[in-house]
Amino acid sequence: MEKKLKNKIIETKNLSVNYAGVKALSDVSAYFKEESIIGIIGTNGSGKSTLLKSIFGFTPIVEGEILKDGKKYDLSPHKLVESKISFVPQGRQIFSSMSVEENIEMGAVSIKNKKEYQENLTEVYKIFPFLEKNKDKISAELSGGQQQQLAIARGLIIKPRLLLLDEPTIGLSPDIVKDVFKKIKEINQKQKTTIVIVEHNLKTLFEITKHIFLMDKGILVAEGSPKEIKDSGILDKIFLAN
Amino acid sequence: MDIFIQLIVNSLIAAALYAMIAVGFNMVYSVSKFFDLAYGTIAVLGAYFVFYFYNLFPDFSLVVITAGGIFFGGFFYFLIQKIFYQKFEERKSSNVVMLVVSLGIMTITQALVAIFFTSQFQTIYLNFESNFKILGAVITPIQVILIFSSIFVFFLIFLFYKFTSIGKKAKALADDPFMSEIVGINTKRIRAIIFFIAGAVVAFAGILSFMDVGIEPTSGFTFLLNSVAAFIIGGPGNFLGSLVGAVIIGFVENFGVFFISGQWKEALTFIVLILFLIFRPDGIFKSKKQNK
Repeated sequence: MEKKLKNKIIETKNLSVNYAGVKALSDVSAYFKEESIIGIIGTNGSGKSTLLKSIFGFTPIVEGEILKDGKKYDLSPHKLVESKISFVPQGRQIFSSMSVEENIEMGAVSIKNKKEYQENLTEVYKIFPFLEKNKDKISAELSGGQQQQLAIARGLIIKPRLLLLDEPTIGLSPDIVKDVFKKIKEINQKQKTTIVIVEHNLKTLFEITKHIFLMDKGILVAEGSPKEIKDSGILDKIFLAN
Repeated sequence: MDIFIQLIVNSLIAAALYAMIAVGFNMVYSVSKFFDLAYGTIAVLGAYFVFYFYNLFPDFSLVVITAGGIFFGGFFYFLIQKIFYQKFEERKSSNVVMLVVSLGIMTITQALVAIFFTSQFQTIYLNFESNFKILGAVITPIQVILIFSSIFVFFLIFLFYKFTSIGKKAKALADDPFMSEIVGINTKRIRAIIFFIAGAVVAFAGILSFMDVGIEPTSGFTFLLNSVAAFIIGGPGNFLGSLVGAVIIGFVENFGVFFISGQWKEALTFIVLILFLIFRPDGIFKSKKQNK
């Protein structure tokens, strides 16, 4: 299986973390290569979301380390956002009492230059035109799919090098899932953003990713291209056993 | 008729004071999500600052001393947040723990004020020329200042949340603390700033109340109770709600005292509060977050 050692934005080395007092990741060594779309899959409780949270400093590291561009980094979220890493957690997380544009503006707190913000906003509106039409609408009034797209748009406003998406399609109808994945691919191609997706919708995910990490019970059990993962038969083994 | 107008004026004066205190409480609650019992004590500290320095330097400008008291209140509250609350928040302490910590801070601060200044009621003599008369109702210059200050503070806070970057970040933090961190808001910094501003606001209210009726070390608890009542009646997280809540309490207190008895003053506030908790627990103005 392919494992390139260069151009890694984020790399975890033998990472073990605790979540809610329980060991949630054991000895996980994963990496996210620049400009690619990477999928993280696994059953419920396999540690997929915990891996993203630990990169963002939300879970205490017990052993191992996380590197950014080959170096240890400050795990505080605002420092990560300043270094152009965005995280869109699961559950359509938006500022529900704020308007659509205020939500996007909050994603841009690390941008000090107004011109840069306006340029990025124009690009975000190009990808999500409905957001511009509804920019003054209170975000709680958007539909579930629109809220998810708003959350992604907010993550994109800083033009991230790395976008971490945790279950972006959970609870959405198949049509909207397709639409969200189309946007994700578009973002990767247009902005050269590295995108890491934790996803349960394997069929659609495999269509857009080049590299997959498969997790089970907090352990990284396999990695490779979608074809390699499918052909290995490990998916049946893991998902049927669970 | 004169009495009736006087009651309305008195109610508005009380409402102006409670609104100022409640809006600060609302600011703090929105970013910390716990009931800070030490909040009212900051008003007392601001008032005693003015009491002390005005007695020490009677010829010095009262405006400057008042500004000093406002800053002192803000800074003291900022320190409490940094030294105590932030540490407990980092440990992910529950709201009950935070409440107990704030009770401890309130008790200690109150005791220290009593040690330094005695438990006696303190007043200040302000050499204002004369009182105003509005439709037969009497209003003192300091009460006029109190009403206009309250309006001014509300206006400033509105501008702060609407147009400043820190205000917008504070709004986001109030909406969702987890998401605020995710998008890169330095939540510790924003909390500290909000505590400073709220401390300054409540200290200002305490100073004006001191100039109007006087102060004692335990006054903070009364300030706290009234602001909490206005906060709950108006709807947590809603600044306009705090204002309306304060007006309701101001009127209920003053009319209740006149028609029933002075001993019922605080009890009446709580009767209204309990009625709201039973029949409209989210307050008059449900926040958009609550609606969701």
